[in-house]
Amino acid sequence: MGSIRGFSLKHRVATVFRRVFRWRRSAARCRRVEGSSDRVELLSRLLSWTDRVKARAKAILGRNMDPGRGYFRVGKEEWAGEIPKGHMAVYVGQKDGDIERILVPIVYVNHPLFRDLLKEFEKEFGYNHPGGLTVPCRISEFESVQTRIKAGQCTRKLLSWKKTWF
Amino acid sequence: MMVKPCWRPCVEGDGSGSREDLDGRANGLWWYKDLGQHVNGEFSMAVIQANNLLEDQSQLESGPLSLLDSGPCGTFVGVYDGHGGPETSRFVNQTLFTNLKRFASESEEVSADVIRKAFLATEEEFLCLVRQQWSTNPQMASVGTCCLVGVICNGVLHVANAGDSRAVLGRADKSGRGVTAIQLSTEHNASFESVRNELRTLHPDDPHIVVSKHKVWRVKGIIQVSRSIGDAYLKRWEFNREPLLDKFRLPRRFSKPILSAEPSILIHRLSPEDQFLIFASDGLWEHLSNQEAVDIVTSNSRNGIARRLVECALRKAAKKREMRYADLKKIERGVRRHFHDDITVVVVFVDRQPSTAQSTPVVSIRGARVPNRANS
Repeated sequence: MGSIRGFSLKHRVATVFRRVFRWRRSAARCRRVEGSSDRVELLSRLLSWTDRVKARAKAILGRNMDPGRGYFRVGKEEWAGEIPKGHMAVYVGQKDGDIERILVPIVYVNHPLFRDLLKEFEKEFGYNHPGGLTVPCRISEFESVQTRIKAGQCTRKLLSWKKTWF
Repeated sequence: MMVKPCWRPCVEGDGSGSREDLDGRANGLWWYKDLGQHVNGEFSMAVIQANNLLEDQSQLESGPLSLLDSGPCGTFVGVYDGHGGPETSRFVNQTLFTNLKRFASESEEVSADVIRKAFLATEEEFLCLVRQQWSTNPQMASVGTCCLVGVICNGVLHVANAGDSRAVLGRADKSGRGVTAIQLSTEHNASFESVRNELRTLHPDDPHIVVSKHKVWRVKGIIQVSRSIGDAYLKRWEFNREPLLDKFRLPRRFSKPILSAEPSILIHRLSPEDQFLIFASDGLWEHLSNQEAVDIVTSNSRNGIARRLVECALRKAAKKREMRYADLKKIERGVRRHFHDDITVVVVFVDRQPSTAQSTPVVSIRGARVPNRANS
């Protein structure tokens, strides 16, 4: 945007907006503090409770989640019962070797690379999984596929970010 | 008071709505007709797709069961669970009922013989089509379909089955305390010892007529069902040649068809205790037992009951795969086949005899006729 009468309009507009919104936000905060009805108190208690739950969940996940991989490994007791939202258990391993139970994000399952791994299973066994979804490959191979899917997702995110801002 | 209408269940397909309501609705991988009328009462249908191309097909026809105006009237239900591709199930969905009407016109009644003739004529027509398309589309020789048919006419129910779909009757106990599930169809799947024995008796010279691979019994080590329409490569030796794919080629010459299209037929006179019938492809029955399905129908409202049955099966499928149902919904078609099969459910309530239902309009509805490719 060009400058009009020697100053940048962009800057002025942004400042005005910021001031208006700051005023509105502080007004809302005042109302919340001043409000003495039971309903408001209940709401604020609910909000602080959700904050506590969020913090607790973060603490648990932070402990178990392997940040580099985005899934849980067998042996971490905390997730043995409950499957986290957006995840599923996958059994990875070959017929004669060890089978490892791994939690993967659901979005990975729809990925073409993951589909290719499942096609291998389909060729030999059809669709008769013994219970959980079975992926017949070496752990290292599975991990490399996961890394590639993750890398793809990051690139996609970066691209969409670029599209928005440039 | 203002929010009250929001809590009401979404009622659709009550026979008075738009064309979409009459023909059912498609939504993503779902197709459903929550409630409709047939000459003997109400019905509900639902389909969920798992395969890349939906292989299940289904239909409900209500009204004249022959080409004559004076001929028999009643309700016809067909559930066709295709395999190898959707071509045969689609063909049967278009052809079988017409063939049944033709034979019913000739004999002026619906009988086991009429249904049997309709099955065999449909099979013959499909094999002709395979032969016609052999040079351009040889893979037609490797597609087939299971075929489950129910016909209610003059208070008598005929259930004909070739393959592993299933029909279950919900019958009220005499004491009036509950509803018992009674299976009406005979299944033709090599997982049953009786089916394996039947195949061995029919093919005494072939020691490999049924083979167990990875603990799953298959006819010739290829297919689990022993009866079907289509599967031309297992019916006629002439199709066992190039360019048919290697995995469908048999090493040993055969003169007698390995699979048969002959249906098992049960005839049952409906009694006042007989409340409803559930027709479904094996996709439902691998997750729900007969009694579980009947209990679900008994303890819920009729509107959307077929969809509820499918949903219960999907919840079980999600549990088996160690995930949440909400997450299973995010799995796309194709890869979804690793979680569950295509599922078709038709629930037919038997409320009245057709003599009192002259005013009911003719109904002809096909499951998932609306292409759901656009939505998924």
